[in-house]
Amino acid sequence: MTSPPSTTSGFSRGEPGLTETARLLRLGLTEASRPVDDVIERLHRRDGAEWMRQALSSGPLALNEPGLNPPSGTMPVAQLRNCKEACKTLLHHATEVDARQRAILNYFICVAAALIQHRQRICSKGRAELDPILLDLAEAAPAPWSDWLGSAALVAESV
Amino acid sequence: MHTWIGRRLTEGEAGRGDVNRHLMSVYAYPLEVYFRGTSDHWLGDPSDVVGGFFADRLARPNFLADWQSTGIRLRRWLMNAFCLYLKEAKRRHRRDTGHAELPDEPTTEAANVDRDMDRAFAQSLTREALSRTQQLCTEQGLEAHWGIFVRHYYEEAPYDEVGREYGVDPPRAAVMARTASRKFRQVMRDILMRDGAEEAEVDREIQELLEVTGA
Repeated sequence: MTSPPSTTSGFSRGEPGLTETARLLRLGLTEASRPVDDVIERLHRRDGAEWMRQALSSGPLALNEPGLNPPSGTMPVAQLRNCKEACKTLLHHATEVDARQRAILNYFICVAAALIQHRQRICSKGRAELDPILLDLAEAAPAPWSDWLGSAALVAESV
Repeated sequence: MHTWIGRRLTEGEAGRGDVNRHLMSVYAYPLEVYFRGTSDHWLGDPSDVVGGFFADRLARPNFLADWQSTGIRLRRWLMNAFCLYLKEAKRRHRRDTGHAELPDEPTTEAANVDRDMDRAFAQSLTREALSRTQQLCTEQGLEAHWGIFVRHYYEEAPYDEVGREYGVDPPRAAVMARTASRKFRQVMRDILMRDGAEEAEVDREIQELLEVTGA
């Protein structure tokens, strides 16, 4: 990463225009509480990376190299849909917080994989809802998952 | 006294200084806009008049405690107090010059002076939130996050362009901007709560400010 360009390194422009004000005011609005928020909080904990590795290696995607890396290659979209549905079932039957969080994490990994590998949105969430979820997961997730989820968020903006 | 302002006021001179800086930083511009919309602008340069108002009122020990007991938004309280201050200034002028024809009440020339002031408050709030977020990001070593946030959200530069400028790929730029935007959200909400809004009211406040910006 390079140093920030000097043109954007400070904010000393006086009052913003009304267009910029409106755009930035919207950022101040609360985003509705989401089930994924607990997962994001879990990932932010000190052992978040290890928890994620375990959650993915034992989840419906059953990633080969126990959750260390994002899925490489291409999985058929039907398989990703099946995995996503399996996550929903796990979530439905989960009685413990940890099991719920693992199911939710795996669910969004399936959704992100479909976006990256097929540019398809396999869940009912719209762009406005899905994009921040993937970015928040990306922010909390360890490398290389962080960039992978960030990529999925950018794809979600365009499909 | 459970608000940020209430707590600071119990912390002696240092706390009072923080409160005064906050008030002048967030509310000077809206009051100047209000002043320009009245027929009283002959009283002086807007920034001097507003500066005089703050110096006079903030020196009064109970000024902000009185506001807290009213439950109204601070910007409304300050506008009411400012109207009274202008009235006093005109009386002094009458007394000093012997001119009697000036009305007491500030006559507004702008059709929607409240709306203009709210609009100015929205701009001032946003500028202050940006400034504090920048400070926060700098303190936490997140200068690049801040820069990418400004380029994308303020200037609407796409992530691939911003990413090139900062030497990161677009997904990383998006994640970094998201980090700064979450800080910006919290800062903006904190400032609105200092204005008197309860946490549960902040979204409605923002929606109302969005309406006056014409968004």
